[in-house]
Amino acid sequence: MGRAKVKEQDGAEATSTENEQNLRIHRLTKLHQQQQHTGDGSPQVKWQKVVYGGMQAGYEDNHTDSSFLEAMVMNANVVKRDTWTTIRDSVAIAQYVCVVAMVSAVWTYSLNGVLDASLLLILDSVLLLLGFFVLLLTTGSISVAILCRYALYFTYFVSGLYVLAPVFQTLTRSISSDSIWALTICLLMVHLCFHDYIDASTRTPPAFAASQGSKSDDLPRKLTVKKPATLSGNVSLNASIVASVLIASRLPSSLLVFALMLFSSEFFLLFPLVTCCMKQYSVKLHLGFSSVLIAVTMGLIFPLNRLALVLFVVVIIFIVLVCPYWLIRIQEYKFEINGPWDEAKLCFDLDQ
Amino acid sequence: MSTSLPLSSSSLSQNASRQQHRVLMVSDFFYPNFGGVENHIYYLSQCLLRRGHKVVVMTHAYGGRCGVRYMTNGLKVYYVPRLPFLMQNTLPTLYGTFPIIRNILIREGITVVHGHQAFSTLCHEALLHARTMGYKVVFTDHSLYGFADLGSIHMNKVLQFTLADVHETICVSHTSKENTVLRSGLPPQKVFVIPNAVDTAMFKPNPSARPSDEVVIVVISRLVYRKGADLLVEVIPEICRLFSNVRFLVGGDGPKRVRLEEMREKHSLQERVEMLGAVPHTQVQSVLVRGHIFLNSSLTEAFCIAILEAASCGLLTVSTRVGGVPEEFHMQWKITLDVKLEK
Repeated sequence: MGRAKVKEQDGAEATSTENEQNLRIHRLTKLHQQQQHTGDGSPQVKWQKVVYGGMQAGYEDNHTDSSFLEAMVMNANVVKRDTWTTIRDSVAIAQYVCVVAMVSAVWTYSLNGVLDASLLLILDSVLLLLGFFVLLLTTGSISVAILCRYALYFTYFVSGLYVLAPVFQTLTRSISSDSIWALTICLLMVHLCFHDYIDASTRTPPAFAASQGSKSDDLPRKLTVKKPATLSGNVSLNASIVASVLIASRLPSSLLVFALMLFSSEFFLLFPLVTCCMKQYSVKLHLGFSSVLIAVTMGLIFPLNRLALVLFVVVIIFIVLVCPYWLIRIQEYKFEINGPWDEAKLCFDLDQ
Repeated sequence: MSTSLPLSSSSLSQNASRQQHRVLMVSDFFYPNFGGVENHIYYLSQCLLRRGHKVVVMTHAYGGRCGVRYMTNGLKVYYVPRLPFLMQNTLPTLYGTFPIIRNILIREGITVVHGHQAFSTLCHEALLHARTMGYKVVFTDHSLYGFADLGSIHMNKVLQFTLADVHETICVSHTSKENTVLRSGLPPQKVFVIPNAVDTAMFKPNPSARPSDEVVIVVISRLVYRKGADLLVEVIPEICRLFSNVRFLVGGDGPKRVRLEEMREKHSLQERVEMLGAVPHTQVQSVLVRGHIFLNSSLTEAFCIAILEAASCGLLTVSTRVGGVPEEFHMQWKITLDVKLEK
């Protein structure tokens, strides 16, 4: 519709039938009487925005007063975006695409036989320790009790994976490879589209800001005060886990399966937490880390397939440079309308 | 009750210059369905019939009620054999209704087609076909709609197409006029504000029916989210706690009735809150006169007839300050609560 062009009109005449003329004469005489009554000299009684009392003297039913649309509020909740901030925020999305590309590259290497089980296991442990150190670095001290609790959770997870590895290995034996590749690519697309990028912005969301009171229990609070679980976030997580299971099930030995599943889980489950903590600690660290990650990914994809590398670079440039520019350019067409006709919002939560 | 056509208010005796119109009212919402739009169409038709015009109503079939029926004073109603598919609306087929609309228009010798309610698909189709055939077309909008969600965006687009070629538009309040003008892009001078009215003969006060020792607050509405049933759930226990001589009479039914029953159980208010269930329209007056105060908690209203009916029965009305409600009464006759609006 574009902008609403509201023209002001006072008493535009429609077709003049005899009846309308009669009515007008009748109203003018009434007005004349009213003027004689009040005798205040003003030509007309002021129009009021009311619907009681019948027709207002001297005004037609379609009279549009100068106060028409006075209470309309335009673009009240629209955020004014700054180019540099938007680009900085889009780096987080690019970083995540990068991570998914890196994981896919590692999958391809494992399937080609380049990476064997022991190498993968060493990689897993190194990444785990690195992630842990980053967490320690960014959140300060951490109590031993919390540490033990999370170590316990992790042990459960790893042992569960180890026990299930033989099951995963034979899971897709009857399915052809083409179906697996197609399904995996679709699932990864779903994962990227539905991923919850809510903490992609460098502005601290209110939930986390409230939790940054004390220093000692920072880590568990950051780990427990989660963003509200959304349907799309859960869908994306499930898609990524299913994709990693499908790929892992193509591997020859169960130890390899276990190692690759552990690698994929570390990235899909634990990596968002690490990046979130890093972002809150320092924006520069986050940007530096993202650039390193992009470089590493490009290095990983380069030996595999030139076309994939070109595609990856194009996607990154699109996300980081083209999308923010496009968003800011179309922002000026945003037309949000609020006014007295809006449905009232309840200020309390409906507890069902 | 004001009419939608500019007529002189002379008596019903012969007046050679006064033209007799044959009006076709079209809407998906008509009896046996009960509601604001349905009542409006019925009463408007009755007033027009009394002025000597001919009125025909067209709506979709309601269950087994299909065909032609006659109501009071010879009001002819066509229950067209189209079944509703979503929220009482006929399935929009664009050309599927053309044959029957054309048939009715020609057979009844219609001069003006009057469509009601933007949400009614039958109304939109009838207006489009009537304009194709060159008839005069009037549209009345009864509700307020938003701009931001998917359903509203779609409906506003359809409304722009329909209202692009309508002769006059009527809205029931000034807020509704602003809303309609913004949604449809009409020039404001094409929109007339003609508010709804209530039949005061039906809603007479009866002071002897209300108790003198306690204050009775009456609530009659559909118990849905849009009518603020959740607000009632929060407000009733508070008021009962603060004032010991207050009782509530809650009439109406809907999906939120369960919540109200739960609230009643939770705070042990069985003695103080009486749930009447669905109240037929003919018995609304007898329920209203049993109270001192009428509470309307709706979250959005283009024009609230319920509070007019309550005021006609002599109750003090308390309402949320939304939509067209602030325009309905003179300041001294109402109390409005500014609901905390999170915009």
